[in-house]
Amino acid sequence: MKAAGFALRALPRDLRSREMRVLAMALAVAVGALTAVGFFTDRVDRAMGQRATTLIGADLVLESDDPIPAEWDERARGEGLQTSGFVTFPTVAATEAGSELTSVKAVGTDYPLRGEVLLSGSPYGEERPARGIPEPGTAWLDPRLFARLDVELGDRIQVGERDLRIAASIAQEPDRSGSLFQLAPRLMFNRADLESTGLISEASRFDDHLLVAGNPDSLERFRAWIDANARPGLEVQGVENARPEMRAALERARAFLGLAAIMAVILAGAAVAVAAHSLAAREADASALLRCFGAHQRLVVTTLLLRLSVIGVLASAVGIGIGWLAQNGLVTLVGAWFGDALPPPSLRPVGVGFAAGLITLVGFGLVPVMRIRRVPVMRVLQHSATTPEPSALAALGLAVAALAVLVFYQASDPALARWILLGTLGMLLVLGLAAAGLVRLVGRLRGRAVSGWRFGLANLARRPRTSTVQMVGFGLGLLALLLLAVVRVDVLEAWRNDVPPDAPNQFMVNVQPDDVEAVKARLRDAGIEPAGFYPMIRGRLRAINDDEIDPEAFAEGRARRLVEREFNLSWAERHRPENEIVAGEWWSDPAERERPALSVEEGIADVLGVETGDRLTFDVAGDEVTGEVTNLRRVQWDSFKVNFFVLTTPDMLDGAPATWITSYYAPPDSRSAVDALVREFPGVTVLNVEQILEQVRSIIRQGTRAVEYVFIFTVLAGIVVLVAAVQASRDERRVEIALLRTLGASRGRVRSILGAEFLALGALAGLIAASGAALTGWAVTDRVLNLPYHFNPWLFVLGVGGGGLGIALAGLLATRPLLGERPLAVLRRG
Amino acid sequence: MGDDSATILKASNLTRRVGGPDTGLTILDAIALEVPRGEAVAVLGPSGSGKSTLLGLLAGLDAPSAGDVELFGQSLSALDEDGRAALRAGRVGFVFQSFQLVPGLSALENVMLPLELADRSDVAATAQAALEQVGLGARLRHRPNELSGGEQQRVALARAFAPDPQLLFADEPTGNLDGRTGAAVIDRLFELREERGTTLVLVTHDEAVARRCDRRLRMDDGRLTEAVA
Ligand SMILES: Nc1ncnc2c1ncn2[C@@H]1O[C@H](COP(=O)(O)OP(=O)(O)OP(=O)(O)O)[C@@H](O)[C@H]1O
Ligand SMILES: [Mg+2]
Repeated sequence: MKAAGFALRALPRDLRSREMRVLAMALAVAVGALTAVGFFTDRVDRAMGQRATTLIGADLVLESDDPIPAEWDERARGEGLQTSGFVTFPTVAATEAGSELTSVKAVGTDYPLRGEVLLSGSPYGEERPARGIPEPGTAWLDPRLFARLDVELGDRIQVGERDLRIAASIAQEPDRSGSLFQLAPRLMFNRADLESTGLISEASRFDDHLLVAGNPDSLERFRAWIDANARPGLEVQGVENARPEMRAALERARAFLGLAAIMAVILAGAAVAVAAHSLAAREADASALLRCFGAHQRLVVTTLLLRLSVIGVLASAVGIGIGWLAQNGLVTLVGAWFGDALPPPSLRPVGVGFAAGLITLVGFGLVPVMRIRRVPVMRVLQHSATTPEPSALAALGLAVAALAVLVFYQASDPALARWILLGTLGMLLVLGLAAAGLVRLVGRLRGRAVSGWRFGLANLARRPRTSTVQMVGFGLGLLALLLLAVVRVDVLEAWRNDVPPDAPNQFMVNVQPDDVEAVKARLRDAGIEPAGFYPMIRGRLRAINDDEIDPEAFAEGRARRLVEREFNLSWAERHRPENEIVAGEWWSDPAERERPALSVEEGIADVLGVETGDRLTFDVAGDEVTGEVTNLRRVQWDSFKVNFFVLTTPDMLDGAPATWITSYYAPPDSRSAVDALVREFPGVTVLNVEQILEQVRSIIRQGTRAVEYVFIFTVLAGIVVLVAAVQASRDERRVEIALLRTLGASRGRVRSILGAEFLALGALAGLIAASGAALTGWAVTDRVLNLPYHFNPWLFVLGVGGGGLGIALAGLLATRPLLGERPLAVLRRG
Repeated sequence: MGDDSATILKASNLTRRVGGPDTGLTILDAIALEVPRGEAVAVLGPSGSGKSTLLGLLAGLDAPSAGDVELFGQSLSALDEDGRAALRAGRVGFVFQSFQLVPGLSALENVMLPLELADRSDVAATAQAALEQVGLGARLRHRPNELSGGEQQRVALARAFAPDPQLLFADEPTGNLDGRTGAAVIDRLFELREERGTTLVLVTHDEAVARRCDRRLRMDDGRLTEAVA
């Protein structure tokens, strides 16, 4: 109670106190960054998700090998969701010229709910969006079927007992991309005609699909209901299961935004720590006095903590307000790019904001401020009695714990979170050690320096602890600014270059081994340089080591789908450099190629629980082949190059039936050449990925801009750290300046001493920061984002030069008022 | 707690050492002292002789290396820091060389501080009365930086006497003041003390001030001797 009274009385003073202001600014920035990103990523995630939905034709797709009950459809519509559906099964379609195995898709009204079907008047002809679905009695055909069945538009085709008129050639099917290599050509007709084909009863491989789309909250509720009522054989496909290229791009965008916000929080946290440290120093006298007058330690501590909480809550509220405004501004700025109206923000980020403010305050501020407990009461009589410094280990430990909570919440990606935490810890450790080392070195060198420098450097060395804290603070602030000024550009550039203008926009599959040379020649004639031809062999995973595969034993979702379906295997002699080997070794030595070995993509190895040394057995065209996993590969799925989950040594798949696959960039004017090629080799299928490519590009473009925006907070936080660090030694300096003035130093001389000190501090901090920025740039680019990193020497020029001059200027500005104070008054006050 | 006994403060074998066993420095060397209730004791001695250290130990602000202090009949070595603080609350007053007013608080709030810590009622009225007694009734809302050194020390006097303590420690209360202002503050201090019969332990450089006390002690290199004038 008494503590509350004291805290309340201190409020007006606290609102004016420099330390509290810095602390509040830091908290407001941290909370602002987190809530803005919280609000915004939430909405952007959904918008980006909606983009991705065009790839599955809906927001959510339910797939079942039994008919989906009508009740589910009603349930979805009851939630205000849009629905549609289709049925797929393989069947043989016939004309007078012959018959062909096709993959039928009987679509319901409103298909697709997201994205669109593109049609053309003739095979591979000019594309136009479809209006609606095939009319009853008509069919749309895969372009390959025209040649194989020798038909034209208007001809008729026999499907089961039904006779349909061919109305269009399918150029693109939005949800077809999910099964890029499904080879049976598509035959699409109206679901109303399904009954009359008579195929429905006998179709053994019959898959029913329910498409659902609508607002995210309703979707969530519907999905929860489905999860509760799901039955075996049902598969729920959300956007997250969309194409790997899209997934990779989305995940990177999210990682970037998370990183930007977390960087702001780390910096703000450092500012909180420095400000709390100064606050405890400033409060030392008052609390020693209170203890002297008979106050319990608990009262002193509680009062200070209460004061901090009040400031914390106020600052968090301001931060939430800033976050709200920021995301609103962002949405008006970016909303248009996303096309769809974003769902309104919920109140949740408000709670999250307060929690984050508290966590930041406690995590970074508690240990530094708690040293108030150890203020010697004797201080009231002997001013030289100083408070012991807090344990750096405890401070760091709690800060990292707080950061861990925030990072795991924000990034929700353990690998990324681990990197951020380790990176921060390492960075602080390196900063601290480097700063301490430099301070000591300066102490040794100062004897050789002249005039102002001598005093300035002596000052640095005389307060090793404060100088180190200050240098770490400056280092962090400069680090952030450098990262944003230089590394950000490089990283975002690398991200943009990830999908260069000549990224492959077409895949060509099913090229027969004998045709490979001829196809290569035709492509080259058309001015197309294929990104490599690769053999492709289909195989079903039979066993891992000696354990037979039982699909039921795998978790529902990706893992089970993988083991249920056929893998596309390929063999290769040489390692492709863009695929990094993350474990084991490639079979570079010709001798190693003789025994059956496998290279597995890292993600799929993780899903299947496979490591190097495991043996995998595949069923390839009836034969069982077994190989040992000798290495794991990291694949950049958004490179649009042909990649395989599993590669084998050449000998292992020798004699297995292979077709070849390639990808390439086809300039717009090469279209007719490609058409001619397809006519010449009717078995070959060309898949256009231009649309996905464009979507990935637009995600990157929008993502880059969003990240740049969020970086504003990081810059602010960096500036607050610098302010906190400049203020950290203000009280000590006040006395020092008064002393120098009393001893007869002119203002100019004091200024030159201070200038020298700040210049040295800034330049040294800049040196540390530049090294840190280079390291962080490498870590983020190479480790987190899997992009190549290029070192930028400007970092050091900017870091040392800019840091020195900037800090000298800021320091002189901050201490200017101190120069004007009357020395006697200062010294009397002690 | 023996408040009625004649001895309000008693130190025996009070020793204070700093540093390690080899490089150690003995600041106070086996000091024995007894202060009867109502007495005014002056401690004289050169700078660095250990006067402030002694005062701090007597008031329980710090723990001795050896020996014990009995304050109001209570042995301080039996108490932890919080216990010692509780013993002081409202019963021990302080006046410091460097005033030690809390910078953000007004004169009135500064005086209220020890009253609140001692859980007194009518805190504001008592504080205001105390300030009026030192002639600062018109400066209640002023902050320390708006007051002169002499005025600040008068606020400190008001703060020390407001709870009506039984024992007052003063460490060179005029050390930061010029002669005339210092003399005025000392006059006020002795007036207040005589009114209330407060026991006083006063550290000073000034022989004249020391002579106003009942007893004078001399501190020399950590040893305390009776200086009979
Ligand atoms: N914690 C400590 N560590 C080392 N030396 C100390 C410590 N505390 C006090 N001293 C030393 O003990 C001696 C006595 O200090 P003290 O402050 O008691 O002197 P004083 O008599 O009050 O002097 P002054 O008249 O200048 O105030 C001084 O030499 C001081 O430097
Ligand atoms: Mg002293």
